[in-house]
Amino acid sequence: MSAGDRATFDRRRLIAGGAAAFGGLLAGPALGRPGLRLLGPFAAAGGDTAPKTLVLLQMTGGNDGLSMVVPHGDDAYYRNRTSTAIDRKSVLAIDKYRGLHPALGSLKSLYDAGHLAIVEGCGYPNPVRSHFKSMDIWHAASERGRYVGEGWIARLARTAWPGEESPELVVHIGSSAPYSIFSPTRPAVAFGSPEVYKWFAIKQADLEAYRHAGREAGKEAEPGEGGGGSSAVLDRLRGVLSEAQESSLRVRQAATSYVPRVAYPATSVGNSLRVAAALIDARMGTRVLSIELVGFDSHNNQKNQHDGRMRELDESLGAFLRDLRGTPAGKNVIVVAFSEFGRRVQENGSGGTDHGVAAPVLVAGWGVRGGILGRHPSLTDLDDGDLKHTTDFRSVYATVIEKWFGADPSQVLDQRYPPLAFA
Amino acid sequence: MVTIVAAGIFAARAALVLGSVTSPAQEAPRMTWDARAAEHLLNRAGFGGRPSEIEAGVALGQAALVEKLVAGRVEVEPFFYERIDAPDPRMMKALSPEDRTARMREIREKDRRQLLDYTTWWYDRMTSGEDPLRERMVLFWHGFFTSSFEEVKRSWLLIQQNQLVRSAALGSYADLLRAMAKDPAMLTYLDNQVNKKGSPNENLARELMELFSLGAGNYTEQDVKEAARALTGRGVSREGAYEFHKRLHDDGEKTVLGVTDRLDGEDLVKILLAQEACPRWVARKLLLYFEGVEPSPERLADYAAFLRANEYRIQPFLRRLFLDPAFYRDEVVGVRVQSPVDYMVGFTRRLGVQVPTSVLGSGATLLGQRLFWPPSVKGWDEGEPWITTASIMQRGNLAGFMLGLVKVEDVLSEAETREPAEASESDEPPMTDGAMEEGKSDAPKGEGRPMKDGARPDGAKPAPKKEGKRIGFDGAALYGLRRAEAAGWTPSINLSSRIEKSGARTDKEIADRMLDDLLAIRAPADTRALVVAFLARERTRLKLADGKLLDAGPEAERVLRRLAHLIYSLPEAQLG
Repeated sequence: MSAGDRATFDRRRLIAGGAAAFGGLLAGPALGRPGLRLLGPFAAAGGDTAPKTLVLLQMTGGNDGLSMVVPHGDDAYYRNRTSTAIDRKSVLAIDKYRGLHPALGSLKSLYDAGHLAIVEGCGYPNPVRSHFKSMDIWHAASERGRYVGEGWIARLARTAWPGEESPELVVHIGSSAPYSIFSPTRPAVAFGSPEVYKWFAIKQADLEAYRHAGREAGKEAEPGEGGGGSSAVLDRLRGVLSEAQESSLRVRQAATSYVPRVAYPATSVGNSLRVAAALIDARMGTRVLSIELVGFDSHNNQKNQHDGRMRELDESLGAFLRDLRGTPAGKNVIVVAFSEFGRRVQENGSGGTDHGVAAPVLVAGWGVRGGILGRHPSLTDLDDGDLKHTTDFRSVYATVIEKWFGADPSQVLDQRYPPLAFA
Repeated sequence: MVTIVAAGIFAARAALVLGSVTSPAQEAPRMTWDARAAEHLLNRAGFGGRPSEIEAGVALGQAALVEKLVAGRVEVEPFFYERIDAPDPRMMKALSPEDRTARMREIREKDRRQLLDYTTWWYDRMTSGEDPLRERMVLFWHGFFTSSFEEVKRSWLLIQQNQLVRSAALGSYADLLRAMAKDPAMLTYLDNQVNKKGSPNENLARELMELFSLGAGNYTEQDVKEAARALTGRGVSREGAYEFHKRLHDDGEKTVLGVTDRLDGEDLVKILLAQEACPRWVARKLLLYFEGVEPSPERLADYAAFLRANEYRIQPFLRRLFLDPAFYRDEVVGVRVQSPVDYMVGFTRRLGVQVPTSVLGSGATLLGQRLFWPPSVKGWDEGEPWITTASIMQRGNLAGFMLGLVKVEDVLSEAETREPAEASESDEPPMTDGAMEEGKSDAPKGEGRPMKDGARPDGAKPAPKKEGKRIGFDGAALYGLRRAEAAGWTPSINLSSRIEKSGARTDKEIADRMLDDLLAIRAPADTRALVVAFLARERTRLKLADGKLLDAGPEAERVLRRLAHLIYSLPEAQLG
């Protein structure tokens, strides 16, 4: 089968999937959501089940972990923090030592229900305090950052779903795709908002008709006419474009027709999670979704800023999880919320905190085993003013890879990291 | 204090020091010098050429065209930049927190605007086509010795760095390496300010070896540690000049790559330049950039030896490459994915239409390449990584915008440009902050959404809600597009008159003409057939016989513009 044939074949398959979803959506919400599910591409395989899915929620800018999971039982916290401190009375206490930021009410309920895991002190050896470089390390799952040539999600996809051809296998919702999903062989599906994820050049059906006419005429053309070197790259780009067009149609259909069960906050991250829920609901074969919440770089007057971010996180993530609750996807979606680093223990002189090292990672979902995992880093035994990390963040990844997706972590990560008990 | 400095005048000197050393092994290349070869050279050594320029290049001959490119035109209109000083810390302490924030904001605003102005100037240089190879090399070095405004935060340090690579673009890599190891923007970007005796910071030392000279695997961690010590004390004064702090320099004995002495920064650069790996690293980067494919070990060894024999001078290296028949092999021609800057600049060059530089910059940003904001110290990943499902569609949409067929509001939703969060109070520029901040003062207000048919509502809608300080990536990207749209910019092109003049009449002739004009590569037969099919269908719609399309007047122009939009949206238009 030539590359061209394969592209056509894939396209047909995709059109079939898209048409099924579209058929269900055309019937409208009145038909009821189960009807739509049965029409989805996964219906035949799994009946009323949904595939395991990961939602990566990136808190960009360096989230102050100490203001998110507050060590209210530690005097050292209050000694080092004055203007950013969360007072003992307002902390949503988990135990005598720690509690959640007061704005994290939904997450606290989730914790109480046993579906929020807090992985303490996540970091990596030889910490880097540059936003970009540290983020690259999280995205590549390697201290080598981008030099590894592929993001960890791309490696996961290659390992766990080698034959899966759905373009929407890995999707980033946001303006620029993170390195975690970068693959040198497979284009990333990434879009800011679904309404504008489209191509204005020509109607796809027309393009297909012209291409068809072109292929017919091409048979008659003398060989060698045209030329322009290797056609392998061109074939790949044509594949990307047809994937883009298919994906564009399906993503827009899924997003515009989705009727959430709960109201999502009208924030950027709220919108992204609503679209994520729509894609999950449409059963497009998506296994990893990436989302970003920005604004954590709190060098100055941190309190207001960080309180706002916590509210955004709680409202949007809370809505997302409530929306999924009780659906087949509900138990099969795991959310991992991380940041490139935490902040220094001691406040700086301007009511903020500077770039630090370790911070907790939150893992949430109706299929997650909640609790406190790992050890809270000491607030007094510091490394040059910074917390010493107690859990390598790749333990979180290893757990997701092995326990959640049933794949082999050694194919994705450079070495073995002890798995955690959240899955 | 404000000082006005003329930059760019240094460029004039650069050409004088460039000798021409030709390898004895190099004989007259045996290859066909035709339109395909000339177009390839103009694509890679510059930003593409119009059919007339390609024809002229063929007529001129390969040797003469190559000589013209490598000789370059060096007199450049200088860009006058202002040294925007960092605030005096004592003065700042005396201010109230609000005033301090306001003052910082004012300075940052000024810096952003100046960098934007410089970026515009730079795009003008690229689109002018006056000195294409120099501009190509400036872009190359900007990715090789890169620094980001995100971390440097002072526009004129970056402008100075860019002027440095501009003046030495075709000069000696050795000189550039030496200069970068004390360039204020680079020292800031890679934290050498805090690289002090007793508490070394390895950032600069590591990148000097890993990215700027040797490549990973050609040094040890111990070498990095020792090199960092050699670089201690190299810093930047508050005024933004290079400053050596003798007190902070570790004067002790160090061993780097087998050399033991009381090494300093100058010694370190000398050691790096003497390594086998160094010419290999630089030659590989150049070959990869210009050819778009990984060189074979033999080819790499050959070019690395040549680079070393020519004392790292870039001009003879490129002359040799452009005369090398292997540079024109099928594996290389027409298979490189254009970078966003290539795509945007190439569009205006090939179509011969003036597009506001703010549009070019915004478009490239939207597609993932924002000058002075590299994604990391490694610069941009060239080639196929540029293409995602979203970016391949956005490339076509941007072409539609530049052809006057697509509106900004169609390309990106308003929602994307607004961050819901309140303004950050941070003293640091926020992570995703962008040039969009300027938009507060002169972004078009009251822009309504276009109607479905492209008409605009009469009544202007109220201005978008206060745009948060943290504007996303797309916000910065949109700014230039919006500004052009608000100013009522439309492209001044007349495709039907061009086709008329060219003598093309039938669908096939028009298809060939348009594809040859607009694409950077020779279109394959099936693409030509696709375009013929498009024209045939449009013509049938207009009830015209083959050969009569131009009789349709304005309708014909519309058809041709839509065709141009289609062509620029095809995967074929991403290659060059």
